[in-house]
Amino acid sequence: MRILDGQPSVYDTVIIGGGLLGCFCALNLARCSLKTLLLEKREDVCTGISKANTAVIYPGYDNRPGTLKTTLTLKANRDFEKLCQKLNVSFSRCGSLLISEGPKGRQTVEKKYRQGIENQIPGLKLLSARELSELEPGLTPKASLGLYAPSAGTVHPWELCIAAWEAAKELGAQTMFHSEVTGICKKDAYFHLEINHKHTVLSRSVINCAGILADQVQALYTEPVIRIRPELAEYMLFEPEKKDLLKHIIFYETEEKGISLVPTLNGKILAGPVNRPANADSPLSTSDAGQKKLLAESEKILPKIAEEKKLRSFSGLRPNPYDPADPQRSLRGMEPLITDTKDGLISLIGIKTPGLTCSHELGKLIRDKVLDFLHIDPVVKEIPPRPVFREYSENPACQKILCRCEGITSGEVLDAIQRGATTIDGVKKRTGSGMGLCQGSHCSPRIAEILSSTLSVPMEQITKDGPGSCYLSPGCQRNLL
Amino acid sequence: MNHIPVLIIGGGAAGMAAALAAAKRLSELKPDINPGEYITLLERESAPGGVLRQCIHHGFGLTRFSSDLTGVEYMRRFSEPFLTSGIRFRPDTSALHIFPDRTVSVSGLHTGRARLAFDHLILASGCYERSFWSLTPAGTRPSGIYAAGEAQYLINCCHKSIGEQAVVLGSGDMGQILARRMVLEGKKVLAVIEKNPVCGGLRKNQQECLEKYQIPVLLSSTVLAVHGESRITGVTVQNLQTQEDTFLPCDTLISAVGLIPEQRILDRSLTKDRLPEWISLCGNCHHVHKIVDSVTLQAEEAGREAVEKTLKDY
Ligand SMILES: Cc1cc2nc3c(=O)[nH]c(=O)nc-3n(C[C@H](O)[C@H](O)[C@H](O)COP(=O)(O)OP(=O)(O)OC[C@H]3O[C@@H](n4cnc5c(N)ncnc54)[C@H](O)[C@@H]3O)c2cc1C
Ligand SMILES: Cc1cc2nc3c(=O)[nH]c(=O)nc-3n(C[C@H](O)[C@H](O)[C@H](O)COP(=O)(O)OP(=O)(O)OC[C@H]3O[C@@H](n4cnc5c(N)ncnc54)[C@H](O)[C@@H]3O)c2cc1C
Repeated sequence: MRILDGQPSVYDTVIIGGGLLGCFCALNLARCSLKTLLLEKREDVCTGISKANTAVIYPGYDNRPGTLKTTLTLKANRDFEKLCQKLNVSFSRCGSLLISEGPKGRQTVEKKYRQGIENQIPGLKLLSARELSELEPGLTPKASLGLYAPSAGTVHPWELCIAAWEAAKELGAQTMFHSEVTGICKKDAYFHLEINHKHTVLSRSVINCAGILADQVQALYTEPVIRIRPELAEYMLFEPEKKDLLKHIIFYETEEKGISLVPTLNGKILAGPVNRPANADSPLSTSDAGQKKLLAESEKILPKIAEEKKLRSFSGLRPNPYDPADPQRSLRGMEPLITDTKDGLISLIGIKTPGLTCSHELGKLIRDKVLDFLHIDPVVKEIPPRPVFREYSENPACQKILCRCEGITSGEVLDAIQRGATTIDGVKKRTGSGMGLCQGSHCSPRIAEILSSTLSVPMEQITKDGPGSCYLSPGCQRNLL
Repeated sequence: MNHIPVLIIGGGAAGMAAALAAAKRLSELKPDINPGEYITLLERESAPGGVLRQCIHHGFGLTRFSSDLTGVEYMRRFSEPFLTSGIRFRPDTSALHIFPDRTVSVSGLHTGRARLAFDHLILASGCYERSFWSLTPAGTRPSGIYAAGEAQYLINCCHKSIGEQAVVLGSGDMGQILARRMVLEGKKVLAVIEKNPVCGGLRKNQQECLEKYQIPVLLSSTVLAVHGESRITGVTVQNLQTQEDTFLPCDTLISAVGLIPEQRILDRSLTKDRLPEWISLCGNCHHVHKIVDSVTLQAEEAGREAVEKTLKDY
């Protein structure tokens, strides 16, 4: 491995992957004044699993009492308002209804109720068909039994992830984008991390939060004890004209695992996921069959959704973990997914739901492991109040509306750029622009112009979401090079 | 709160015609009232014109002016008198929400966030485009997919090149005009895809935009799937009659799948039954007009009526 640019930089800890887990690890380590570096191969944080998921903060009845998953979920759920307040992120504790149809569904609901009672989840209640329709009038009359969990909620995963990253930055954590880790070895007390086959950084510890690729990153150093089988999860978003069409998160249990409906913070309804094995050539491709199934399932739960407008469909990847020694056996629980080489490399491989709910708790848990390894006594700083860039958003001269569907102003776009957005999707993730009925057709040219003038790059180089995804003609980009 | 007798939202063909007709009627009935005190027009862009600003093709004003103007020329016949009429014009200002108590919240460069009260409202907010993504296509979500209006704005107003090899979805007037524009810009248009068994749009446009440039139209077909990880690399087109799939390689997809009247800023309680008589809609926000001449006519009537109605209590 060659070291370019003279002396390589040396860190206490390097985190691979800028998803929710990576950003919360970075935040919690930076809180202990460790010299922290986040490496992300893409152009921004929150581009992987953290970008496309169900956005639910789970109440914690899904798992057996006493397990790590349950303990973290219960703690995370209880403290979620506090966390969101510190990070200045919105959160809605809208409550959830697990509804069932058929005998097997009924059994599941009853089992989760018992589990939830054991887990001491506040306010948990079994509801009859009549009580269900009182609480959520639009629900299918077929739902015969429901489990109400008032502590369930929803958050905007992009907002949470970006807020954690911003807070980590505020505490001194550094970030390198477009930086794929391509090699890991250890010499003396230091890991040498090769980036893009070119540069090297040194670190005393490494945290692998590479999401769907976490097993491959692990394989750069040692043979992984966990492998990932990606599974595609398809979603659909609706724009309900009737704003009170859905008030609670709905989980639907039938003979097989059903979909969820989530009333999102920005007034949409998120439906999904339906799952199938990911196609190797184009893992994120949605399917016609998947879309049809989503629509049918959504209508089954909330018949009136058929009258509402569809916004878009999209997909995410689920990192299903398995044991390479026994590929048929899928791994359960959270504990086995946190692996430690005992010489300073910790990996999170195959963390799925409720990874969003537990992202901060997992970040703290990993922090303690790293501190332990480095023999550092923790002095944990408070999460700093998230810097709010009001410079533009409160300036009357920046109140021109650019995204007419969601009412996003030029000031909010400038703020987003100052906070690190470099692409049209980067602005979308930070402001919510382009998420309405016209799906960015009005605001994209205007946002591309502002990105171009603020970042002083020609508009031809502005991308949707990173290299290759130019907003304008790929021909112009070739001419510029 | 400033009280505005006649408030017009949107400065496209409809808004300008309504404003000019209102000012004319005002000068006939009450020559002593200054039009700027009486009539205000809000426009979210920096200049009036609406979609006409990006229509550089001919085919406007055939009935109104008995001549074949470009959209921009047609626009000038209204924007020049409008800008010198003394009507209060608030550019860079969007109306956000119209409340049942006859107020409107606005956000703009000169006003910041504000609430305005009015007697009569003329909504002339045009259309928005139905998005390609609302069709929930299969496949990936790459760049290079534009709504027709977005493509037209980028090419004609920003003078940008959006792609080299395009597929156009939708054979209505918008789709046809954009297909021709791409060819005139020196780009290749592989096909216009239409789900109906017949080509849409005006016959004149079919001849002048598609046949003249030999742009193929695939009827009874739709875009089933999008390919490409970062930039679009092609689409799967399905023939809806034979169920046969074809792959068309392209780096650009222009979607012209329909216009929807822009009435979203009206409070839901106002649209539930019949609109109250203090609101009139005109132009494309009333219904999608094929030609601008009919927009102008409808808007002029709305402008005159608004003045007559409001003067009674002024
Ligand atoms: C379909 C689905 C639904 C879910 N729904 C919920 C839910 O409702 N509630 C809940 O609590 N949890 C949910 N989860 C779980 C939750 O979304 C994830 O646990 C969470 O987003 C954490 O993701 P991550 O940080 O592990 O991965 P990611 O967000 O994918 O981040 C990994 C990052 O690593 C980067 N990377 C990869 N390789 C390299 C490399 N070699 N070098 C540098 N960078 C690299 C990637 O580019 C990526 O940005 C869901 C998960 C899925 C799949
Ligand atoms: C591609 C295309 C080709 C056409 N070709 C022809 C043709 O060949 N011949 C012909 O006669 N006609 C043609 N037409 C039709 C004609 O141009 C339109 O019907 C007419 O211009 C519509 O005018 P409008 O004022 O109703 O809408 P618009 O021009 O859309 O004006 C609406 C205005 O309202 C503003 N606005 C919207 N919401 C708000 C808000 N909340 N606050 C403030 N401002 C707001 C917008 O910025 C815009 O300026 C064509 C149209 C298109 C799109």
